[in-house]
Amino acid sequence: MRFEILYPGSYAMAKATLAQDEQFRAESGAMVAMTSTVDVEGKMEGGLWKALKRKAVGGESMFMQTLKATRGPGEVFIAPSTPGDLALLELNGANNYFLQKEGFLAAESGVTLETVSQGIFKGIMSGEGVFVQRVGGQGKLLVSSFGAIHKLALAPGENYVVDNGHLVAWSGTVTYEIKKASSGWLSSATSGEGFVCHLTGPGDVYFQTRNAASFGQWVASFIPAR
Amino acid sequence: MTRQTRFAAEVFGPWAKGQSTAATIDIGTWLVVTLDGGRRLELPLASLKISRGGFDLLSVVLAGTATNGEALHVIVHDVSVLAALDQHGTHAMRAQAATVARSHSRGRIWRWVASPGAVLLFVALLAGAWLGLPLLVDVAVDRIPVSLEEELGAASVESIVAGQPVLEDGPVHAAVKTVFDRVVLGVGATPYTFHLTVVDTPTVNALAAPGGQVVVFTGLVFEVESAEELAGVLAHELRHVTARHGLRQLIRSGGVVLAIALCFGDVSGLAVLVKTLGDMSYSRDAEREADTGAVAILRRARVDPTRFREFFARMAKHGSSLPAILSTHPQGDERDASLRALTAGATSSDWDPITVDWAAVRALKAPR
Repeated sequence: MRFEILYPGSYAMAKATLAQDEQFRAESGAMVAMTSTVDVEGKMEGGLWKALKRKAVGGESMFMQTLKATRGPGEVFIAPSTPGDLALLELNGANNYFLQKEGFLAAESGVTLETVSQGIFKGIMSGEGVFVQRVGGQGKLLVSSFGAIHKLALAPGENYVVDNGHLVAWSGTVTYEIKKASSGWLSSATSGEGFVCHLTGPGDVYFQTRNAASFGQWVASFIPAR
Repeated sequence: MTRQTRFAAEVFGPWAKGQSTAATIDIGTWLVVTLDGGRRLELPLASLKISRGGFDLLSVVLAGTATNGEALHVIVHDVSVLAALDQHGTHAMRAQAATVARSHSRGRIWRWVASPGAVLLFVALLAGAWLGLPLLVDVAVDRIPVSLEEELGAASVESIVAGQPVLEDGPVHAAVKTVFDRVVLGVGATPYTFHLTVVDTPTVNALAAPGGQVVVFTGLVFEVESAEELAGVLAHELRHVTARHGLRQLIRSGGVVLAIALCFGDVSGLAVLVKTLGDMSYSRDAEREADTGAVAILRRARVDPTRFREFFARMAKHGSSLPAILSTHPQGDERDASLRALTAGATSSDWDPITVDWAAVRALKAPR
């Protein structure tokens, strides 16, 4: 099978080309259009408990959809629910990626997905949530962002700072720490403001050009209070 | 028992930045790296640098230069690689592997946070936390080992001192150390080892940091009129240390989230806050407790406890130019009265003088 990203930019969509009997998984509700040779099946990935955990703590849907070309070769178009770009990541059996809770769009069937804790403090302060998703296994993975996606390739020991709420995906080999953005202690610890993610290579880091939470606040400012 | 010597790994080399290559590694006298695709690289085991890295520092990073000159970062997600390195490596490497293995086990303490019970508990705690923050702080403080407190204290002293001149010997340092050692005698049984840092700046202040750290500024040393006055201030600071006031204040300033994280054994948040410790002042209750404790310490060390009150009373009369010590140790009639009550009944037969000629110490004050 093959993934192809169409219309890269704000309203990107992916096209999956399947041979007969090939299948892949996508976020529930991601399917936009498909050939009639493809069957969609809702599945609780990993059983009830794992699905519940994903829903409750990962912000992901409990169900994933499996799209299978049962009646001959087919095509499926998939897109995330928010405006933004897509990136294609490759898993070679040895590497892992970590995704922020809304990052997953679709993956080939050899890709494994699990929800892991990054610790309460880091979770709340990083803006990426207490739980993040770890993807491993083998195959291609599509991640979605809010806004465009920028990729940084970090050399061993190379440092970078990314504002919280902007991380989309990062290699499992990247170390990250939460630090205060400035030396002063101006903002309250519980608001999560004023914290940034310090990343240390080696590995790739994908970040998004817009922060969904900030955008939400901006939109909310136009909604008249009742 | 033969240990596993072959591991799956990710390798970063000069051929691609950011993107790793899958590989298999074999550990023997050499570290043999076989990249996906068949290319083989060899690294002498003795030259490897071992560290932690990756998500939550759960992976092992082996850095070194291959025989063909390429610098490699080999990342192994299976920590049992440390056991293999321990078996085959040189003595120095075994020490490195052991250190890294220890730090791994510390990281694992809070891994159970992901369990369902912990999630529910977390939600329940968050709900009750706003009401019970002081209680939560107590629980969190109790869960912090003295060793960690010492690390935090050392880090906060470093940030308080931050480039200011520190006295490590000389007559002024010696005089302060004599007084400090005498006061420490009165502390009694304690898990802490006390450290004194004398900072050579005109600030009239002294402060306590977690883990047995006391910082004295020479401004204070030249302001007090006797060794006993300084002893009183030091006893007050030592009581802040043994009552863990600094740690308590630090946790409180981090709010509910930090306190809960600490209750779960996640200490990563403390490190973020430690730099703010120097700017903190303690609550009135903590100050009162430190005064009471200070008088007890002084009595046990057989130091005149009345001079300490006199010093603060004199400082309060400074008028317009209040020294720093009063901004962090608010002086009031109430405090003066309570110190007076605490020291009532003390007679000169209860103490022995501290044998430091303080007039001589004050004469060392450099003109500024």
